Amino acid sequence: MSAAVPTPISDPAREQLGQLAAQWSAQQQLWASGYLAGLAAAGGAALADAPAQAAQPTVSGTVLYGSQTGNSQGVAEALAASGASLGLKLRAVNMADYSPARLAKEQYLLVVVSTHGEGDPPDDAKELFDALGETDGPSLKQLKYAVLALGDSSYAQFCQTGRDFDERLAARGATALLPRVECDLDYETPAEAWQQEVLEQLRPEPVPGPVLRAVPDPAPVTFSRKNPFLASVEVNQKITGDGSGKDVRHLELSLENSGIRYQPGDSLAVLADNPPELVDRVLSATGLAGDTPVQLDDQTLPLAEALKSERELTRLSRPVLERYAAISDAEPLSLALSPEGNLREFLFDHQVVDLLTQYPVELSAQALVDLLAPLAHRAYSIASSPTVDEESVHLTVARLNFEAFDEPHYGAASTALAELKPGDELRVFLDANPRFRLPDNPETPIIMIGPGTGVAPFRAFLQEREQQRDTLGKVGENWLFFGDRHFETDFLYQIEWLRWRKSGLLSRLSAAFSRDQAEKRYVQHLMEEQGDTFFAWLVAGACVYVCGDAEHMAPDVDAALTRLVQTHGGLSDEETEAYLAELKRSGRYRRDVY
Amino acid sequence: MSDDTKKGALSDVERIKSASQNLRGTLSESLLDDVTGAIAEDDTQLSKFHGIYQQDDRDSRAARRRQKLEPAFSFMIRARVPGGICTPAQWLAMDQLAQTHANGTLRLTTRQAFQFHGVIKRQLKETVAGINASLLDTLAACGDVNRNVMASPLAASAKVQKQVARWAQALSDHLTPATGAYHEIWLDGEKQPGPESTTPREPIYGDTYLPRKFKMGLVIPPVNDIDIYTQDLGFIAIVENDKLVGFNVSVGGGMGMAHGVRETYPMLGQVIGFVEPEALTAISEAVVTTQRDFGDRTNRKHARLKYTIDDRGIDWFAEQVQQRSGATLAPARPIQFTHRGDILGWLQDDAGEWHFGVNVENGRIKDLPEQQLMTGLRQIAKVHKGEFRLTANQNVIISGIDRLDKAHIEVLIDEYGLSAGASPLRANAMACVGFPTCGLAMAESERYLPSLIDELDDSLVSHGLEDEPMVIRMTGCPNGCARPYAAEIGLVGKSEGRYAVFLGGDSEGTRLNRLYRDNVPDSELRGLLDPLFAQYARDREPEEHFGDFLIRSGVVAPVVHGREIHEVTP
Repeated sequence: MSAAVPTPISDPAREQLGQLAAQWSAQQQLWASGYLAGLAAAGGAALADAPAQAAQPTVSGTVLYGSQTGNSQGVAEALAASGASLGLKLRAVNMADYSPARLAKEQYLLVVVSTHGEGDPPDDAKELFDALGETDGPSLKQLKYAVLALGDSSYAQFCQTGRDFDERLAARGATALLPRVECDLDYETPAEAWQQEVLEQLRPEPVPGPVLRAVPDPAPVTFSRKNPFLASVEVNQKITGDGSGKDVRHLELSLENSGIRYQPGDSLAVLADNPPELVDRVLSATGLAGDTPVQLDDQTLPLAEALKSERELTRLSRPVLERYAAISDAEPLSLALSPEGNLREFLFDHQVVDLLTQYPVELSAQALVDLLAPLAHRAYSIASSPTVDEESVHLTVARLNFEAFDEPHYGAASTALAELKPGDELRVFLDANPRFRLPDNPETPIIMIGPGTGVAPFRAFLQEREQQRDTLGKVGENWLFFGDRHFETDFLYQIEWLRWRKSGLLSRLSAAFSRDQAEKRYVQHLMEEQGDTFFAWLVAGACVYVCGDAEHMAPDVDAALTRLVQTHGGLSDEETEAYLAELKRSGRYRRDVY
Repeated sequence: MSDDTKKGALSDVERIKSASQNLRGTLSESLLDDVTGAIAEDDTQLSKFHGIYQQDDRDSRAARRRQKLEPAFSFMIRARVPGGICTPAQWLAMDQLAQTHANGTLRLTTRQAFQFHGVIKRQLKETVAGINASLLDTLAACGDVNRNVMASPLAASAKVQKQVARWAQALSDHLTPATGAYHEIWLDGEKQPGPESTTPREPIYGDTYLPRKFKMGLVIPPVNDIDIYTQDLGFIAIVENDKLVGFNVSVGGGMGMAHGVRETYPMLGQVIGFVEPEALTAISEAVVTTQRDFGDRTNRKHARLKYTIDDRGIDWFAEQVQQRSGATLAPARPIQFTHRGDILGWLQDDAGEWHFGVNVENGRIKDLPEQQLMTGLRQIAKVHKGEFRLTANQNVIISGIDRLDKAHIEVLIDEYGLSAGASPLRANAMACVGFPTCGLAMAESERYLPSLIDELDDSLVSHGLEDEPMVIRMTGCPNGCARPYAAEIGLVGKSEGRYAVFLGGDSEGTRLNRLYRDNVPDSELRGLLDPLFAQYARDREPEEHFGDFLIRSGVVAPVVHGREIHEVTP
């Protein structure tokens, strides 16, 4: 900055401002610039008024988040930031780092929590969740709370953890500020609405209106679902061998000029168009013309375009099924939604097109798009480290397709991704996962458990650690567990692991292939077979990472870990439980499962 | 590294052998390493001594590299069959292993052994154990040791044939490595005494074995069916009055060379004398230990016995052998070879036993729509009480058929198409495996030769030569597995679709051929040979064979010493 530039602020004042700003993050600086601009727009509110305002008694509260993927953290941090802009003292805290004893002292508690697997709380939430469940716990009469429940309606126990938190808080005498809000995979819009309502409830009276209105949005420095980055495809390589029953793709996308900065462990969210054949099948099932204009939010689009790029066709969700069941009187639909029905299975087996063909109803084009959910993004664990190429991001995508009702069914995103050609463009944005990071200390040993495409983030980890080794001269030991169906065709990134083992970066490489012998073998079997070594690594301070399937693999791995800790540590049930709880609490057992 | 420092240094394989603790290396650990289909690099040299070659599917190599997968590794396992003789039970065991552990086919080798292809690492141990359970083995089927001992599978005298077969077995046993590594690694055997033990672990070979592979065979004239002069050590049976009186000893044969490298060349064995049967074991051991002590261990392309003899002289060598064996080499007895081919179809020997020779194209036992070789031979093995004899031309003889079983077996032979006729060219043709599994292959061999023979047969028919036996052999590289330099027509792969053409060998296997044209595209092979066939048909003398004709007519100058093979006739 040149001193010759004339400024309206005195040098000492500018210096003070500069010192203050230097302590802020880029986002805080942006917000401050907006704040000051807002003050100016409000017509000359003196700077001196600001501290006076801050000195007023403020509302303080805690935004607790608990999730497996980082979505709830994003919502919680945004809420805390928006609260700060209103002068509210809101602190966003990971449930894992929150002492249940504090509950009795809290004024406001805002809970953002996802549901995991079959209605279970995410790892980070377990301790607090259990504490709240204790029937003889202290009364929380002083506490006002709100719950935002995140979930996936393809699971039967949709948003169960949020519901349980709501119930448990109420049972302890706390008062709900507003009714619980439940979100599906497309959580962004309801989450925003919930935040607004919470802020409305917490806002101190009276609020100096002009300030609030004058604060402009911080400039969008990140891409989002509503404003995705168009990444161009550089590589699309099938990495399962000929004859494999699986089609897994290694994709390399260019992030050039996006400003997107990711870290190993992060995911990339992808908004992939529905396959054109699927759009055609929906159109022919409904008898609607593709060029019929439909209204979506504030834009008008041809129906075919809306179905292709804006509406969810492959993942059927409970709300969509409910809306559909309301206009169709088909028995199987109401059965699936009834307590006796197997909603989970129904939602898994059926796509929108199956409803339209098997339980036809009369629908207008507009009614069809209103019925359907917005196209959801799919998050893929990033398989590369920016230390290798920060302008590029690698994904590992298993193409999902199966036959149902004598028709081919596709996973929309995985199909679209598998068919991309170099040069094609894809809508993406960063889905940061701060919970799934390498240890701060590069010398900490790590154990990575990632069967199937769950191995993706560990490629990123090892690339990062290879770089660390090159710069620091040494790095902690690394152990990878991989599993898939067949050794010969399904050993994803095999030559890279072998190269790293040869170079010594990977101290141990353990792989199980389920279908190469009569008895199925999985990673959890390897863990237990090598339980003494595994436990020795834990004793040496190793961090354990698990990535991949949440339904079977993660619980099986968890059970194996529990058993091996108990066996090789010679611990009682309680001690084992405490050991694992401590592992989780200290961030040494992290999971990214889905 | 300069040439000078390189010269004196032992080859890397010598280092590996020396450090291997008598062929153990880290093979056991390699087998347990389940994240790679390969074994450790040094172990790939040692595994050969156990009869196992690491290979990979070269057809899919490039695709798998892109797929970030290691090559599709698998293993070739060779089972030794001394003299090529096995029992029906052993045949069935090999057949079964081929179905359950290998690629579903069996291959009869040019050295009368069985070969399995496509065995993956985690099946390796079971396969080797299965071969052992049948009382065959794989030890020393490859590697720098004496390999499968060959012997004529049929002779005018059934008695002599049996005697020679017994010698093959005895010599094979005598020269089998003594190391306990084989039992430890493959058969979960007891650990053998460690290095502190004073008993020599390899009394014949020593801890570094031979400088290079070593091949041995026994032949019964007048049929040179095992190509006796291509062996490092050959014993030629001398039969007088229906009695085996002894053997002429031939030394220093060998095929391998490198394209265009004049310091490498094939050689035919030289006869150094006659010995009585009692001296056979001692002579064999003396030849082996002389080569052990004097063979070149610095350069594997100059390490075969043929170079040792060429460098030091045949008289020096004969003297070494006599000293070491304590036997005297008498003047060689006169012998006469007439041809090399197998007798296919029915034959009754002088003892009245029946044999049936089955033509097996390139030695590959598999089922085809028109000929179910694999099933047919399996069905026969279930009822047959005699032997199966593998021939050096990769065919099989159902031998010693019981008179009572003959009719039944004849029905099976017809049912499965085993008597399907082959042209004389095809019946005597040989090809190595080549692509896609052999790591040395430069061009197609087994997968290509059959269609080339279709073309050449066409050409021969057009010249009225369809009944003329002619020895044609193809290999995918110049190392010579199918003994191409001892053929009338030798085709040796240079690069994909291109072959060096060697002509002028004789039908009895007593003369090497000579490079005729280099780098011939496969599409031009017929065009190259057709005018020579025409000339042969027109100008041949009665009973004159194609190779002899080419020499007499001056198309090809005869090769007197192996190193001339690279020189095209002006």
